[in-house]
Amino acid sequence: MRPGEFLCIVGASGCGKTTALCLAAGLYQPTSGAVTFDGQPMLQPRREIAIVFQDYGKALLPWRTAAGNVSLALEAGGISVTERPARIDALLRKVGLPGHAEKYPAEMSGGMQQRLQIARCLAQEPKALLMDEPFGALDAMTRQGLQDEVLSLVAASNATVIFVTHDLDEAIYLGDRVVGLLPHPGRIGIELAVNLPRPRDQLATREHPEFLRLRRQLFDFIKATEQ
Amino acid sequence: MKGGAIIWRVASFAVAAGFIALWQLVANWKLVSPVFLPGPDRAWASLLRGFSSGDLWSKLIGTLEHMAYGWLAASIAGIAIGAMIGSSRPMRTYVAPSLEFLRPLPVSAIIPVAIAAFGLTQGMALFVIAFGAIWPIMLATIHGFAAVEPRLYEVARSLQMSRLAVIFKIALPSASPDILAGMRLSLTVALILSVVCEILAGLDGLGHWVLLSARAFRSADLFAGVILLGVTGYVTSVAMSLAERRLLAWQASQR
Amino acid sequence: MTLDRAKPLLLPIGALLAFEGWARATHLQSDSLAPPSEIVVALAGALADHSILAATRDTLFATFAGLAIGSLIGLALGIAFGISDTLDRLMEVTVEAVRPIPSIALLPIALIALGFGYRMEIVIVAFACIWPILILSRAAVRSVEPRLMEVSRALRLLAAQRVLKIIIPAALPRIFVAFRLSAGIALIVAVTVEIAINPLGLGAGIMLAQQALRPDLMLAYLVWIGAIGYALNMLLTVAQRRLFGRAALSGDSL
Repeated sequence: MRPGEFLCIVGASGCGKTTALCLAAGLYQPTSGAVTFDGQPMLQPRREIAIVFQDYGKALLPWRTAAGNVSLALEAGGISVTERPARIDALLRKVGLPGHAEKYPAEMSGGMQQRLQIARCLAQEPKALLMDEPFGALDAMTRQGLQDEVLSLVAASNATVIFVTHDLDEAIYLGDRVVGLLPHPGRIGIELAVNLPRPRDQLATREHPEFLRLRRQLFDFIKATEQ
Repeated sequence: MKGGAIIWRVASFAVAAGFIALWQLVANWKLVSPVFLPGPDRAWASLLRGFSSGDLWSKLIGTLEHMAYGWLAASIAGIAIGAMIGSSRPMRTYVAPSLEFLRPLPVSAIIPVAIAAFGLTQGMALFVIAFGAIWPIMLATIHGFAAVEPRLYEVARSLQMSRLAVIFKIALPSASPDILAGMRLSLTVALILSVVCEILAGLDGLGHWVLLSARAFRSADLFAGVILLGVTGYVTSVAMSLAERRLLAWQASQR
Repeated sequence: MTLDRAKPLLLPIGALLAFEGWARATHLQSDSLAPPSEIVVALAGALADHSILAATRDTLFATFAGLAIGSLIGLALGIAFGISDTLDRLMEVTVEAVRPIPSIALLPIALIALGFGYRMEIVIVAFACIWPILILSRAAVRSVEPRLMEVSRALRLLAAQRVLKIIIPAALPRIFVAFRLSAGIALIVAVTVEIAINPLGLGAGIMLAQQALRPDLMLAYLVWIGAIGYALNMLLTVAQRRLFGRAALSGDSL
């Protein structure tokens, strides 16, 4: 991948999208081939690679407040106690959760919980962000809002992103490059470059002829794989 | 509390008072010999006497001390051992089944062994109480550690958290509801074993008090002691529940 | 697969062998410990001369008698409290006041009232068994599918009929789980009473062995008591599975 690139992975269920992400995260080890980061093989997860899980409820600590959850990443990163409150404040504001610092995850909506998880990931100051269908469990309105938020956050930090989704529109909307996987065994079936202007806009970009062309291409690909 | 709930509470107290009044009647009419059944008035008088003279107070402290030392020792050991076993799959496979096997066995059967080893001493009591109280805590800790959400472990790996940090920041808080419930159960066990050891070994405490009262047929003192034991059980249990609720405040919002 | 089933046994067998080896090597002389081989011999002897069997009979008699009485009372109260909200709320304070009294604390009262022997032990065991059965059967009755209660009302069943034909059968699996739990408690309380003061049964046997400075016999009694407890639990679990099937085992976290 190129640094700062936004890669989206799509594919029918069971073709290995999540597995690919876990390999990139260093949570699994490859049986053949290698995963490298900055030229070094990925033998285990690293703090510079942040993972946003789909089941946000399970990835947050229910016994800590929102501030506490973000703090976990700072504690792991060795940030001193005095520096933490300011950083937590800034991060929560960045993801649109100002003033919710003392709430427990159970008291927050799904969209807010996912934003909290993103805040915790950003606290790692990651070079790469791996997102596994992060908006899959949310309603359409929330999803669109979060898509734009993620784009602006990523643009500001210049992180490299791998984004797994089953939503073709989302993949094209967000990505610089879209990869479609084939199942049994999981492998790359199609690779599309997304030459749409940035910053993206929910209405304008989705009506762009290039968007529609890519959409048709991906749709045909998925349809073919499901046969 | 809502108005309706308060009324029910008051009515419930009235019913309980009714039972006490019934008890008083039975005692007054000597339907049961006063040697066995003193009236609530005599039991209450004995309670007051015992506390004003300091006797009952020192006995109460004695039992509480036995309970406390045994329970604390059991808690520390139980959580430590339970954490070790619960967080490692190989240990769970090899060790947990044996522990499950030992769970329903009468813990008081260890008393003669303890007497043989330590004699009729405070040390014997401490051993027995700790041994009995450790099981609910240890088993609950193992269960709690084994049931930690695997996703959280992945988060910890991604953050490159140290082993110690994982145990204290993720596993222990996650298991805390189970552990605290186990500690509450252990309190009951600790009380029972304290009383038994005091009866057997003549150690200073409420168990010894009620035994002596029984032997001397001082039924009022006997009942006073039994009532005090009930109160002790109740208060310690309620105190533990309150502590649980405070520590697990985050759970309330989950329900 | 057989390796998987053998794994849980490795630790206990290994521990026993290690203990045996150590005891032999150090020529163990102790009042509290004895090598497993001697324990087995002592157990065999106690079984052969029927002493431990007579003690088992005595303990189990007190256990089951107390369990039966306590269960009946607890069940009756539990069902009553489960059905009648009014009764339940009125009795709340009384139940909460009496329940925390440790059954062992009643030992001296039972002692002066009934003297040594079966009766006092049965009374204490019964008292201990009332509470778990009361609480759990009350919960079981309350969790009976409300739809069934509506059916009983639609069929205009009398109160007694409703209890017998709908409530008890519906709540029975959970009531049985409560019974199984109480059986374990009953045995523990019976043995405890015997160890503390009552000169009969397995508890008395183990105390006598300790006083006679016979650690082998004492530990033999300990193992035997454990085996009886285990067997009792096994028996009731099998019965539960037979009678109610796997569905009822959902209450098994107890």
